[in-house]
Amino acid sequence: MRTPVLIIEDGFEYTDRAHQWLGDEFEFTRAGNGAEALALLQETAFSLVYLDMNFNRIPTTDLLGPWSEIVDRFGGDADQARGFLEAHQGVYILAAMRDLGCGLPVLISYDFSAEPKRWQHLKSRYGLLQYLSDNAGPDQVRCALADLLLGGPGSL
Amino acid sequence: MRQIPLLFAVLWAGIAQAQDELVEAGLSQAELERFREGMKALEEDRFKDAQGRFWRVHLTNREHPQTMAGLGRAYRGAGNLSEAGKWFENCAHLLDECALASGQLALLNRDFEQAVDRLARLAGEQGEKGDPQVHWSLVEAYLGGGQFREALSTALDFVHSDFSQRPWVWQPEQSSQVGALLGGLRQDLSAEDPWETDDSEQWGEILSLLVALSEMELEEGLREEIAAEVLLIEVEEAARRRFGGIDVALSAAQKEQIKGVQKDLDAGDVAGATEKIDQLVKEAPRSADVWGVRGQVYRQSPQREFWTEAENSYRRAHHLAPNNPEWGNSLVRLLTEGYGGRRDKEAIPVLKELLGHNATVVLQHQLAQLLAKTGDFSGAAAAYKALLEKWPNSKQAPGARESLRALEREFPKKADLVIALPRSQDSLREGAQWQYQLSVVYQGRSMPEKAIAHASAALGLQPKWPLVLNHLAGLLLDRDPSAALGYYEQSLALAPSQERVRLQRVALLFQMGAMKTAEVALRELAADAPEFHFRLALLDYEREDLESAQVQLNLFFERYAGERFQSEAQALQGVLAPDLDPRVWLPLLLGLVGFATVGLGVFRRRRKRKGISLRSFLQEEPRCFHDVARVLAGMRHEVLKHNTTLLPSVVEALLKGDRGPALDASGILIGGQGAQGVIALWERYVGELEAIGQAHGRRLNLRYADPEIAPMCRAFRGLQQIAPLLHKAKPESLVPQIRAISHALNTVGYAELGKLLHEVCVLEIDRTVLEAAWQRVAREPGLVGRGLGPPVIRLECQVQVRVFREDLVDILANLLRNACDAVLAGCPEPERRVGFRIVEEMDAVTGLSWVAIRVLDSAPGSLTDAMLKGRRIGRGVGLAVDLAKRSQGSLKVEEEPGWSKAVVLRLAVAEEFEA
Repeated sequence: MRTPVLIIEDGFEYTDRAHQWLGDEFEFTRAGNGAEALALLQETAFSLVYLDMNFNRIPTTDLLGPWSEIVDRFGGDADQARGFLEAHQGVYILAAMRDLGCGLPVLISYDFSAEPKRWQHLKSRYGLLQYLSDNAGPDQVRCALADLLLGGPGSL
Repeated sequence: MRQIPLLFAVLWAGIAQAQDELVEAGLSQAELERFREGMKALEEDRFKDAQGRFWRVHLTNREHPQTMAGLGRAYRGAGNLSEAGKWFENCAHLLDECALASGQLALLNRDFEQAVDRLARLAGEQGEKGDPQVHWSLVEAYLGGGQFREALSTALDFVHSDFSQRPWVWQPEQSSQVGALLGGLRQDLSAEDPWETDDSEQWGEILSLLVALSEMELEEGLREEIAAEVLLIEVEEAARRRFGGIDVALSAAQKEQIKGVQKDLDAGDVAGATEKIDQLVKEAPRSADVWGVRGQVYRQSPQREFWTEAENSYRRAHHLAPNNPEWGNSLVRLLTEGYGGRRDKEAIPVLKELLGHNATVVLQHQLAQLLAKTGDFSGAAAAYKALLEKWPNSKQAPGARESLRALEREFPKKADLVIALPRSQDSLREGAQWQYQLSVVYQGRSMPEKAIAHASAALGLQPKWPLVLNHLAGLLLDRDPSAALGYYEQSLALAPSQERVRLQRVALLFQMGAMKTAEVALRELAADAPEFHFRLALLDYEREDLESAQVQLNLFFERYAGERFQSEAQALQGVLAPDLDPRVWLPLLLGLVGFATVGLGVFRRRRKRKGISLRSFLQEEPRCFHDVARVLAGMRHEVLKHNTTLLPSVVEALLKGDRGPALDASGILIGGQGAQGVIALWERYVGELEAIGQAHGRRLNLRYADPEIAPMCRAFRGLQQIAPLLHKAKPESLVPQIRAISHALNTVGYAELGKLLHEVCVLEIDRTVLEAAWQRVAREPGLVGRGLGPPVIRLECQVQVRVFREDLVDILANLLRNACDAVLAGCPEPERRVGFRIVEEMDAVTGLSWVAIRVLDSAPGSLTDAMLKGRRIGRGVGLAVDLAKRSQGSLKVEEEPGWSKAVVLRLAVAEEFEA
């Protein structure tokens, strides 16, 4: 039986590649934004979540996160607020998942190697996490997913 | 004139805001009512009605300036400009706005003399703190009256004054005036003979104006136009500097004055010498000696900022008298000795030019040393060889031989040919020469299209000019080899003895595959230049005609006694005469093979060596960081991720005999069915980086020389070659290549790009940055002597942020200036305080950290975020808002205990990078 994995991404690159290279071992379902992902998580049993970070191809209204607070943080500049929410949307989706009581292991596609302090904070706040940098190939994705399934290391 | 209605709108907005003060100015309640009715009528374009209502006020209160201004506007609205002008004139001495309006009306009536009279008076009264509109209108008035130089001077005052920091934003209509100004100035200056007048300072001023304008807020198209204008002027000035020989002799009295200056210098009186020489420069602006001595005077100054003046003077002197090596040498010394090696490269073209006019062994030796010092080893070797050929018995020769041996040991393949070209240009028409010079400058700026266009124009004017024929051929080598060959042949028909051109023709013929013609040409060349028997020997050897190769080699040894090709010829001899010990000839053979491999590609390699690395570019142009970072992030994210990272899996699959993944990978790499492949995507990103460089006048050599990008480009070229073979070639032949490419891209390249992104443009927030901002503000006239002490600084964290230092200092200075103005205006002296508090903050949800730089002041009164961004109000800090945004930061007004308020700049913290 293949392991069910929810991929959350604003495009289709992750899903296509995952089907192509890892389809024998995992069964992938795609969600195109945070709300869609939360709905799928409530109605379907997944073993893992594979989460993109940057969501710059979806409408502003589909972005999760405290819009007014972030607009205020940027002194009322909506463009900057949108850019910020897009660039960090993966973390806002993760936060919403945890708020919803979803404790599934999450593999984030983002290179945190340059931000060790931030990564430690996210791990302590959001539980079972792992990240994959942009130079990870299919084998590394497979290993990371397997590690997370086994409750293995929290980072690569 | 299109901006007139706009200016009136601005004027009237000011008047409207001042309504509350009208009662105090002496209007009765009834008059005030009528006045307001008049204002309302104006707003609703009922000008006749407005006239009547203002008239009624005026009849009972004849000294009320706002009413007179209202009448002026009402008449203007009704189209009665002469009457409007009278009313504005009547109140001009009472209200600056009316004086401006009066000047504006004169402008509208095209009475530029009157407009200049009104506006110049008003601008003089207001000084630097006045209304920017007044100054710019004055520019326009001068412009309209054809007084371009006054317009330039006023515009320069305008852009260099405090106005750019004040809440006044350019409107498109005003921007269009900039275009008119530029057009007028260029027309005016080009009407004069550039060789008879001393105009380069004017060009310098125009350039300064353009640069300042290009940094102001202009509509997009105009910015580009101005950037193009800047480039054109720089190019023309650069080309102009290549001309020379217009030195004007000094009178006996002037020579005495020069001696006086030198006496002052000898006595250590630099100030006296400066005063005298500056005066003399005005009297004899076309004298090389005067400019040269001026360079000496300014060079004596202990303050480095005066060295720029010295450099300009030396350049000027050298330009006026290029045959006199003294000033060129002084310039070279200044560049090489004054800047710790940073400007050595700039001295090289000066030295080459000096050598062109007056070749000496000292200069040649200096050039060779400088080329070696700046890393141009092949150039240095060529320079040493030229020295040894021309001055074999000079005292510099032994050292040159030693240096050359060292250089050739390190770079045995880069031996170069130095063949002098004919120099006589006396009979050339000036226009052709000008076009040629422009072409050379454009070529140096890596703008080949323009270079070709100007070279073609030069040939159009002077078709029988070998120098330009060769230059154009060189420009066309890669683009159109046939045309290049044609130009070389035309050049050789005019001047058959050009050895270098003959060799270039041979190389081009080989490159184009015309082997027989090339060989014939090479044999002809060898008949005149026996060292080329070696090339013939090599050619024979490559096609395995060893007997002929030996014959040619024998001819080489018999007929040629120079040093060129000697080591390579010895190597070939070793191969052809195998009785020699292989330990002797084998290393030489390896060098020879390398030499042969690269021999005919010398021109292509030269092109590949030109240009700077991305890292150097970012150091020179740090403000481009955000553009570059965007592209690098795209390279890492879109090109590598899930694309080239597939390569290790492809290897595994191939080794297992599974071609499926290889086929998939092939599709991803080279695309298909209309989709763009990753290789093309990479090319697009490299092209974007090159375009960023080009936009700043820099040629980036990313594909061949950049330490981070070039290895990745090489890997992609390898991918390009093997991608179509993935589904059919033998796995054992593909696997090692794919592994090497994957390593280059996914491991080394990925890490290098990340390192580059993290290393560049990271700044630690410390006291020096805060103090730099304060120093800038404290020097400003509005603050000097006002009793405001330095800011209180509380540094509560030590972090790095990703921002360009000058941007940060600009933002902080802008905020601090605003705070100081507010404090000075609103606080009694003992309570005047400004300060900084630096704290680190973290967003718990995203885990991101910011540094909050809190600019504090004790001034009463409220300030909101909206006011912070406003450019038309007194406390606007639009510049700081824009700069903060560019660094992905933000500005906000917040409360601060113990202070009136804090304007908070937040910038994302850059964590320390560990590769």
